[in-house]
Amino acid sequence: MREFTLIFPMIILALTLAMVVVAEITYHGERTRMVGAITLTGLLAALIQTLLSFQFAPIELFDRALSVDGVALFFQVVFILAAGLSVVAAMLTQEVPEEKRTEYCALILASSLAMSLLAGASDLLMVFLCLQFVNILGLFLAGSGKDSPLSAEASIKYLMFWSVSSALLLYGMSALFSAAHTLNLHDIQMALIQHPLGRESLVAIFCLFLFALTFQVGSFPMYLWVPDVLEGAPTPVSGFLSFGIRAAGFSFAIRFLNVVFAQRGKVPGTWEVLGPLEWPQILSWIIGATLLIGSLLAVRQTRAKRLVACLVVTQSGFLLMGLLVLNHVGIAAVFYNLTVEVFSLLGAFFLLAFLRDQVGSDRLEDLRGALARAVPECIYLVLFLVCLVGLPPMPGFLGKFALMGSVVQQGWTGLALIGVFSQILSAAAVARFAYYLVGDFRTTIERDGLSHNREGFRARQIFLLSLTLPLIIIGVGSQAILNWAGKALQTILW
Amino acid sequence: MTQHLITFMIVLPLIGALFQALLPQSREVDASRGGVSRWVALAASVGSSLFTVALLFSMNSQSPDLQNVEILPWVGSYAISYELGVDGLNVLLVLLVGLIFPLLIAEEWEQKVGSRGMHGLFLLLQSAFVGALCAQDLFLQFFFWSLSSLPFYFLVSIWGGKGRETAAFRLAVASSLGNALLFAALVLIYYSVDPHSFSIRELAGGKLGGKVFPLFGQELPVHSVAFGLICASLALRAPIWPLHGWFTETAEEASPSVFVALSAVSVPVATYIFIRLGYSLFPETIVTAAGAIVVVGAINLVMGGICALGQTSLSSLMAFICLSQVGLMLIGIGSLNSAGVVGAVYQQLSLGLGLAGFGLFSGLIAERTGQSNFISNDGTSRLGGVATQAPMIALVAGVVVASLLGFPGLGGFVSGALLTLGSYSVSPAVVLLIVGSLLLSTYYLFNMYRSVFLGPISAEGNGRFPELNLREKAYFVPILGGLVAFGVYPKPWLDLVKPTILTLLSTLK
Repeated sequence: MREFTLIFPMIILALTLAMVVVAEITYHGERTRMVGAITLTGLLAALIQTLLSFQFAPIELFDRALSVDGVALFFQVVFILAAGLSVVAAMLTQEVPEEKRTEYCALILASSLAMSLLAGASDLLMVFLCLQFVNILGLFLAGSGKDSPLSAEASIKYLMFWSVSSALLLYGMSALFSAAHTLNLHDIQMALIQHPLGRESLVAIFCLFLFALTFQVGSFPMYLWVPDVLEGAPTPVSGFLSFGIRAAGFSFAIRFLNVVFAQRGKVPGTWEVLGPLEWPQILSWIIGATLLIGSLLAVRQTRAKRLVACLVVTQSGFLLMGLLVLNHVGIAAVFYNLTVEVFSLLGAFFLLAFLRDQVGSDRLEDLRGALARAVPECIYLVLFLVCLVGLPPMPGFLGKFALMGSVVQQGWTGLALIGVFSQILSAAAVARFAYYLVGDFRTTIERDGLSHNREGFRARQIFLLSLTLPLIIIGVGSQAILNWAGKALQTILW
Repeated sequence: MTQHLITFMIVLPLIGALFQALLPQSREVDASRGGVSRWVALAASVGSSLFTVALLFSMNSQSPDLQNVEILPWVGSYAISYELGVDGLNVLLVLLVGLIFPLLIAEEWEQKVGSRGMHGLFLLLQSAFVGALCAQDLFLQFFFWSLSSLPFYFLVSIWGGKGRETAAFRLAVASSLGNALLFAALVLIYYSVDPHSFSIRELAGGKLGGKVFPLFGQELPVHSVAFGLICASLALRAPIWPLHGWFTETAEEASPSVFVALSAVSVPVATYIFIRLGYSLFPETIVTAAGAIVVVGAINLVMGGICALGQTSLSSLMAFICLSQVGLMLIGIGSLNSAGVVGAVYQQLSLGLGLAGFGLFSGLIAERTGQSNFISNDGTSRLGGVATQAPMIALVAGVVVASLLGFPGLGGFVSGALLTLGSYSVSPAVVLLIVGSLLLSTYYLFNMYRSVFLGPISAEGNGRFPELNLREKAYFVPILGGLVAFGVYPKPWLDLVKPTILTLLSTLK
């Protein structure tokens, strides 16, 4: 029964997915609305079920291929939230046309299922399959704007980066398997402790793994797909992908790093499996480069979606700081940031989609003066971006503080300085965006008066409030979120 | 009720701002019907000020300690708490915030474009400044202090003049750079003490002395690096020569009321944070750096004065007056004796009021004549003769100018005298410098006064110049009343300030 309770959310997701697919092939006429409702109901049920099942964790299922523990459940919550929010975002904007909404819902549902599975996967094969599952769906989603050449290009770029990184990951995994003769991550660790590998092969395996990780979270050196894919994909999809793919990467990295590689060894400064390999040094270079590249690119962008995508790259750099320290403080900080990011990132992309509907483009030049046409929306957009970048007064700021603090604590002061510098640059990028949004506000108002889009106004405001309220609650009740993250970490299996 | 006075002062404007966002949209374009929202804004602002008055009455002037303290744990994992309190150092500024913001809302009473937005942002600023002043937790203080930089961007970029967007962008970049540096200092301080703490109370008294941190393989002392970061960050929020470019550009572009909020409130608050953090967290460093602070102050004083000579518009003249007076304050802060520091604290109040008055009457003149340049480039007067048509405005402006010049009987005199006294112990040369800059400011301020208010009515002005109406009279009353009250009978105010300053100074030696 306990096993069933813990995988029940995934079962709900799968059933909803089946219903949506059946609805798509059987019904005609007024069906899309129903599909949206079904999807949301299913996601809500899964979310509630996940929250309820926290008390039953941890457990290992399916011959130890899946471990449902605090970390898996935490990620499940944010994936389901992201899926739900992006479904609503698509319903409130026009970029995903109504006849394609069923398809979209099905893909999002399947993605959230895949990501939830990945979060618990603790077996090489399972990890690899789930990653493929996530990325194939991501590929479809990125290419779902079929009429737009940009979307097709995004899909192709995604395909290329993904195939390279998955091939490399597969090499790494097969090397691990041939050394340990088992697929289970925990067993691999045991085997590697008993029969240590040579330094060269360990370095090779670790680097292959790291390479796949940098693709998945969109950090240096494999960050190049992020701006292209997020720009080309339909905007609600960009919102889902920008969060989902990276968070999936973090869920896999946290488990993989903690279980296989980076248990601290008995001698300080060494690791049980990796020995004296200075992997934090490598990771810190990656983080520094990601932070600088992301924020420098963000300052120079001329398109809104690309700008946000570059900020997303920077965020990956910040989140990797949590993996660098790899203790409870760091990982709790990653959790906190991800919780904040679900709302701020999806909110920002939703509003970009809305502005794109209004203006027909996401070039900053075309968005000039959008504030006069949509006052509340533009203000929300700036607030979400401020939150994403981690500037006060939004809760994202506390998250950045937690991450940078955790690296300072371990003596990476230089890295924290780079972090501050990249935050300044990101702030400048957001200010530049706001500058375009404000545009000639006063002249426009004096000429035309304050016009705003009545269509769907109420639904949009309610949705935006439902994104903002959690952010305020997260800000005020930060301690509760951190406690929750801490509790999730206690019931972890490693 | 009385335990939560400060919280009320912070929350009330926030509620008012929320109302500005929620009240129906259609009313604001038509100013005659926009009544509800602006009354709500004024009520929220005045309500907060009334709590300030209650706070003042509840203060015990004998005690150097924090009063009306509120402590509430916020994020326990990072030792962040919601800790508020007032003592002699910040009480006058809290009063200043409470005095000025209702006036600004009254000044923008008939704003045609997006009045709700503007009033809402002013309310947001009011609560951010009260929060930044009263917060006794570094994190909370930083939270409010950086919250205060966001509204300025919108206030300048929407309601500014022709070059408003560039000015707002520069302002935003300067203040976010300043905030980031402060944030870096914060992280450094937090992690250098054990157990980690943000509480100013716990960090005070030289706890940071002797701590080091590694950076790129070198050991650096925490206290001097953090102090340097804090100085740099505040120099980007208060105008310090030569980092003042954003400030003077904002002066040119922002509407007068917004620039009053920036120069008369934000700048004094920045110097307050400097005193608070400098004296309580870095007692050793500030003694070492005192000389440098005085030098920076002196440069500011002189450069501000010299640049003010060449200004042709009222708003940029105001910016350079502010620059020069901030220099005077810094000299007081660096003098490390009670007269100088008390003078600097008192100067925050009197300068704030003086600049508010200056900004408001220059706003009136700009609004009525459509220009703020009082002298054209060839040196001929463009305005003039205002005094004959609107004697009340001339009177108000006269009092404000006199206070800025430090005439006896007005607020500026008390602080100016104290600062001069305090600076004597540093070096008699500084006194000479202060006197010299006073002569300079007498020249440029009288020059301005002569060409705007006296002399023949200029041909360029449109000839008619309406007198103050009731609303305008109403918002000059608190300013003039304050200037006179703080100048004629400064004792109760100085008594509030002194104990805290003396205690702080006693920790230095």
